[in-house]
Amino acid sequence: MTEEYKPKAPLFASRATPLQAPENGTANNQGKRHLTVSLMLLVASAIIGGATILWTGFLSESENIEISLETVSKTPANQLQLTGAEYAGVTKSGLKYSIQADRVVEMKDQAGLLHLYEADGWISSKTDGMTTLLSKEAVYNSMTATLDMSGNVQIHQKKQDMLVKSQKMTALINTGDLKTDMPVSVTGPQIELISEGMVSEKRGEIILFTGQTQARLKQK
Amino acid sequence: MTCDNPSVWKAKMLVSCKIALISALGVILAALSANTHADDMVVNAKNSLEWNRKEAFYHAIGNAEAIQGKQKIRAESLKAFYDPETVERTITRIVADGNASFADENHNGSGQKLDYNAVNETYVLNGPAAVLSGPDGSGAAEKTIIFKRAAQIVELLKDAEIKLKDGRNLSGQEIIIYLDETDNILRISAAGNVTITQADGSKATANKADYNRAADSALLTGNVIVKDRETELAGDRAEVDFATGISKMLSDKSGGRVSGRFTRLKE
Repeated sequence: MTEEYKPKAPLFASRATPLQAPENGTANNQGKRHLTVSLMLLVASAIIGGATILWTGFLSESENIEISLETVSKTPANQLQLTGAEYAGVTKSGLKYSIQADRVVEMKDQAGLLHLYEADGWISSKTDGMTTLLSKEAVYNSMTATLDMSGNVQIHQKKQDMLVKSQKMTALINTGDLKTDMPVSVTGPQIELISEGMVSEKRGEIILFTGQTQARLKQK
Repeated sequence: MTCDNPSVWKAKMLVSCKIALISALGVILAALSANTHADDMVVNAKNSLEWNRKEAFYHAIGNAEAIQGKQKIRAESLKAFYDPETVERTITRIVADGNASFADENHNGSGQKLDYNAVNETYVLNGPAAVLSGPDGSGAAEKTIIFKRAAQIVELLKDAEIKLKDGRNLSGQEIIIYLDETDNILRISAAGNVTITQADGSKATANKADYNRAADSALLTGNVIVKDRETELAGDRAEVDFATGISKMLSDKSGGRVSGRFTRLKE
């Protein structure tokens, strides 16, 4: 159950420089609408940052993001909630991306935390092709610039047909790397790997699989 | 039981044919699947596995092992380098460090460190106490054992010793073993303080020795001394026939006289 919300500041607005609310200040649950919100990009780039586990070159900062929403509302717990949120744009390095979430909730009592439900998205570059990301839930922490994805996390790079799966995955926005302490699997045409955890460094150039690990390297 | 109705008989034949065809396909698919997996390399690590895509290697740490078909390499740490230019990231080299060992169909080897070149199929085992064993026996070297798998050559460097299963031992500073296609010893070449010890305890020492497996004989050269229980022969060259037990001392000069000593040992 939600009540009508008059936006004081956009949900994903930067804590430092909040974006302007719509001038009319009316309810936002009138179907899809388009906003320009610079710090929405932090969330988008956070999710996209996950793609760098296997693919390089993504800049977390981007401009000119396009956002479409179905509704914006306030929950009984006084939390802001977006539904049908979709963010799309092009990063400074020229990567196209799109992020969707069925529902996004701002954690009111936990400053800087955004909860994304049924989040998925893609990122595309000329060199690495299309990468898709999927998770049941994701929490973006703007204070630490991390995105914690959980629940059937899947990161798939189409060009190499490489799929990374885990139940949890944290994307470090500033470095563009990923880590998880949960079991992880990597499947591709030339590799099948299972491990107890993983940490990527240098935007995926180095991936350290931690704990007991088994890799099948297909040679022919 | 007979089948008088031709249509029933035909139907039964069809079912039988189908079953046979499906079985045959199953066998073929299973064989193809087995072959596919035989080419795969499985890497296991207890602590971690690093995939360095920039420098093109996998680094397994902690009871690490790499298995490919009947070939197995183990160590505390394994670093497998691959060719990033190939689609299948072909493994070109494996460096094993810390209690390294390997095994294939006919050989086992161990040492402190192992460097395997997959391109020319060469194992380099570094000591101290590098060991290699095969169908005919085992070899050890203080410094290095180089096993050139494709060329069927084993080189043992520094304080080397081989022990054959028939009880004979051979030691020297450098030993080269030539293998045949079934991994049996074809020939042994040894240099530097060479000592051959027979199963019955008789010994021969020389600067160099060349053992021919087919003839079961050895040519010893340089400061040769052949000892058995009661006699000692010394000379420049000696031919030792292991089959007959007869040793022949030879001159090192063509047409020259044999220069040697014959000593009856005191009781």
